[in-house]
Amino acid sequence: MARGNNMGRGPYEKSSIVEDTGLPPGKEVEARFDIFYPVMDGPDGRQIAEEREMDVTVELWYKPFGTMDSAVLWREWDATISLDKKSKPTTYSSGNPK
Amino acid sequence: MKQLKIIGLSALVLLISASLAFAIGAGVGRDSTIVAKKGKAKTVQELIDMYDSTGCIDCHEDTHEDWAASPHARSIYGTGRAAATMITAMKNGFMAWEYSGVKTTKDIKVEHLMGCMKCHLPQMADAEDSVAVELADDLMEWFANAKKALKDPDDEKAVDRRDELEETLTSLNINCLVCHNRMAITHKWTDGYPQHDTVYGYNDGEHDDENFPKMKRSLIMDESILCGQCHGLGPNLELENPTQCATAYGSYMWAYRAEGGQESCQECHMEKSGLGHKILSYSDPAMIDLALDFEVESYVSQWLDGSTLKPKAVVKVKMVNRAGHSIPDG
Repeated sequence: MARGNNMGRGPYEKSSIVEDTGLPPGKEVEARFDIFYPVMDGPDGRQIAEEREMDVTVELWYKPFGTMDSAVLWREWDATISLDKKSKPTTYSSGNPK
Repeated sequence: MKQLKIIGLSALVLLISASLAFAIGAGVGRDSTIVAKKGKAKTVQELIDMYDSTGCIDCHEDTHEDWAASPHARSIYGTGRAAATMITAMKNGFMAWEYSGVKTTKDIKVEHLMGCMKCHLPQMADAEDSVAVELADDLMEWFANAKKALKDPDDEKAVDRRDELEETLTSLNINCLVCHNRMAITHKWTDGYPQHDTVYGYNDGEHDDENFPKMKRSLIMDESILCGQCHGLGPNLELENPTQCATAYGSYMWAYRAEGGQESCQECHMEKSGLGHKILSYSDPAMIDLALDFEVESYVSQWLDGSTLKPKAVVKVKMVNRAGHSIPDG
């Protein structure tokens, strides 16, 4: 009922907000995701990247009921992100199998 | 003795005047609103009839079709989910609360339902408590039959009753007369009360309808406050037990207009989107396009700590909400 730090989903379960995770109008909001590539042990005992490429899809869904029930896909972005593109090979041999 | 009789008569006249004033309420012209002329609805059907807008269809067919595709046309039923949520609000809400005075649907009064109906059916305020009981029973019976029909689609009795009640529930809605009459004037002591024979829009003049022969300009028809009466400020503190549902108008005022935003609800949801009286939101492609700037940036980096390698992709998603309120909101 928001007479403490609890707030329910139903209108009858709240009379205030305890936080707002929505997008405020006119303000830039950034969400950052750090996604690690899998690694394995190389022949010299040092770790190397198991995969050089990663397919990433970003989807923005509007969930009217907080679940995927009746959710609407608003935006979608996908790309193959390669360790060999947009970044220089590391100077350390253990980081580069080729 | 004669003097006493005169005093007694005066007191009686005063009492009658006072009771009339309470019945009609304060404000000049309040006695000519739709509800004042027709009297409060005693049944659900009377409430449907009180704001019956089918007379508008002949001349405003396109507008009617747009409206029929809008959530306003099924404001208490929705897709069925809104109606089910109202049942939850009753059962988990005032039927479970110790001091609400409600144990069964027979105890329900209009004021109990206004937590939902303030916005989903504002004309509920123009009904007697018998309508609240009937509506609550209709909702419960619809849900019971909908469940039966879902379990056994061959149960004709349940299917028929479900459909019958669905028709009743969808007949209670936010239609032409709700926006263009009942809710068309917010400042009633300044601009007058909405009159029973008048539709309110952008013009003054005659209106070709025997029940509504007059047309008057509403000063809020193109203002966000018209919508803000329902798509509200947040907590409804005027209720005996406050609820909170829509917050869009509060967000619009304090996070959008306060920061220099200039557009109105109608400009985005009706004009720029081309939606007219469909007035859609999150599910409509035009509104989705208007709502947001969306940009994704990615790069890779490798962190080598001795023999421990941590190669990673960094994905940055930048979003700017271009709506006039927080997203999501309603």
